[in-house]
Amino acid sequence: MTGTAFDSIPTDTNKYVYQMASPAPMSLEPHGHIPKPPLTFSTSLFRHISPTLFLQRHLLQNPPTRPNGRQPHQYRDFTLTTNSLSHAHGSAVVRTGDTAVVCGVRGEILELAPGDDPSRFETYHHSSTSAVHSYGSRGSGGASWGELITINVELSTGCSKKYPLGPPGTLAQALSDQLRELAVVSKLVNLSSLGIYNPEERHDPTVKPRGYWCLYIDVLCISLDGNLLDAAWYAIVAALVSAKLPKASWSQAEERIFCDGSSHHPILLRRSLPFVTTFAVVPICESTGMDAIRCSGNISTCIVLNDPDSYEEEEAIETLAVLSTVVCEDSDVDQINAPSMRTRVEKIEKTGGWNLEESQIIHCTHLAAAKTRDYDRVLLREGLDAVQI
Amino acid sequence: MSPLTPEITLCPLPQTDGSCQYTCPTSRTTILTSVNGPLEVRAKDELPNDATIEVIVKPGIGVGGVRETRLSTLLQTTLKSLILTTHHPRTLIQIVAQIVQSEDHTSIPLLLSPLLNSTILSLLIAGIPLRTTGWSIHLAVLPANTPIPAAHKDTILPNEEGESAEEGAMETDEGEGREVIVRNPGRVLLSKAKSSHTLVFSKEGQMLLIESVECSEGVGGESADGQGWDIEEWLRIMRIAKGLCCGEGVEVVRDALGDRKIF
Repeated sequence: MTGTAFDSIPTDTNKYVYQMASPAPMSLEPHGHIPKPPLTFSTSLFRHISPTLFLQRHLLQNPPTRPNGRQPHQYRDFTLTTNSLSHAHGSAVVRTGDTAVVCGVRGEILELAPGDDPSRFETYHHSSTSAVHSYGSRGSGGASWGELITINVELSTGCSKKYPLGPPGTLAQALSDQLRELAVVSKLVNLSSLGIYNPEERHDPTVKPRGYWCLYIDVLCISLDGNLLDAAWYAIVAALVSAKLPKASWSQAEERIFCDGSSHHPILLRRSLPFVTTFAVVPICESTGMDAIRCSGNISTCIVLNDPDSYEEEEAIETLAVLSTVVCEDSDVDQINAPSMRTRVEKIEKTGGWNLEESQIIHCTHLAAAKTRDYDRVLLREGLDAVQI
Repeated sequence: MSPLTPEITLCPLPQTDGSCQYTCPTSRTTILTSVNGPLEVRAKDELPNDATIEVIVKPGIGVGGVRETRLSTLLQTTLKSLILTTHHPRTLIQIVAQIVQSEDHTSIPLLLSPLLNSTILSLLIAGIPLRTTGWSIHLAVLPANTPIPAAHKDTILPNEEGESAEEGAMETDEGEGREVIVRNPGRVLLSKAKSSHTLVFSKEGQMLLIESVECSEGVGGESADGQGWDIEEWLRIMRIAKGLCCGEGVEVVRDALGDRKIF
């Protein structure tokens, strides 16, 4: 095999040794010279020297295999544990590969003053009426005033070398806003179910609520190895499904809200739960050798990687995130694998790059639907386990 | 001049390398952007083979928060693929976007499209090497039978069968429900919309950015089940946007730059 060092395609990452240059045949060496052993280095060093090429060489194999051993469409297995935190009203720990997040939901009571208009709390996408109002909406943490659900992401937990301790960086801020947008777009929680009423006048539908449960959702990333968005959103959904708020009611005699821990205030969620799936798009250059690094201006093809890890995320030029649900025409949950299901997309976000084609987007929605089904299945099983305990 | 042509003022800030003020014709969102570069880069941001691109979005009111950080991340990733960063390694290209006027200063759908268009024009004026140019378009899908004010009638897009907007509206009166797609909706129209789509295409028709969200109002919970769209519906909207970006978008940029001989 001739050519440069990087022509070799790794087959077995454990024992493959890359040749820096192809050694000249032994017989041509002048007499008396002991031929130098070829300069070789391990796969892990190759990855450090030329990460882009390392990934491309893996993906050019047939079938394409990622350095972590997965197929391009394959996502990492995930585990879910709910209600492991005792002080939160609902919590979930999600682990996918080396990414682990904890999510806690805490409810706090918002009492309404007599003049307050509750209608603005009970609609998603409520548009503010004036510039003055939207100025007032700039609360802490970017939460708009009048939203009952506040989501925050914390990355400065030593989860990755890239995010040191300190105030939230760009990624943490952008992620918090993205998750808040997901909550608003998917309308996951029925906002009117968070209302607190006077039990004596509850039968009257015209009565206004006396207060609301505000949900503070905090996501802590313990370990970060790519694709935080999927894991964080799954943890949020699972924490909300498992959350149990104490029963709150308005007492007319005392003129304030009381909580009763013996029964629960239901948080009504959607029946078809929406989940987000992220894809990374990695350019593939057919030409060999070092040219592959430089030809990024005219990439011919690209390959879509489901559930990228942090190394793949760094090499990716484009990311695509799809929020989708699987709607069962038949409301029976047991028939989750029935063919009467439909995939509904609620959000598509694609940033960076220019190589993604229509056909690949369609393919990604199919992959997202498959993952959504899996997410649903694990959540259902976890929920049943919790009931049995 | 079409009523949908944006108002563009080039070089309103003479001290910068390139600047542009852009006003959306219908929602009146006004953005002022400036581009400086290539400049000297801070040591910690220096990239050995690429130019560093910094995008700062300044809000119209108050101090910048999480939303502005998100907007600048969206702009930065889009522009990074548009700018030939390898032409100016170890330098900084700084883009500052100021929101001058907007109906809702926190709404990403209303702000993103004007921000991108204004930035791309500023980059062209500043002479930053670009791989190609892009244009952004914002579409909203309204449910059938939505009353659309007469002032915004020309923002309705005719549907594929080639009928005019008027005929389409007539048809909905007869009970045949048909969704209406409008361009550049303002805040009031957007609040009635089912979904909002901000798309950016290069002049060759490559997809640079997709930001499509479901945005109907509601209390959520079970009432939101079944919302969203099938992927075929989205592809139809995407093709409409692509046609507009590659056709009209390129024309607008060409007219705006006029005799500057950048194209």
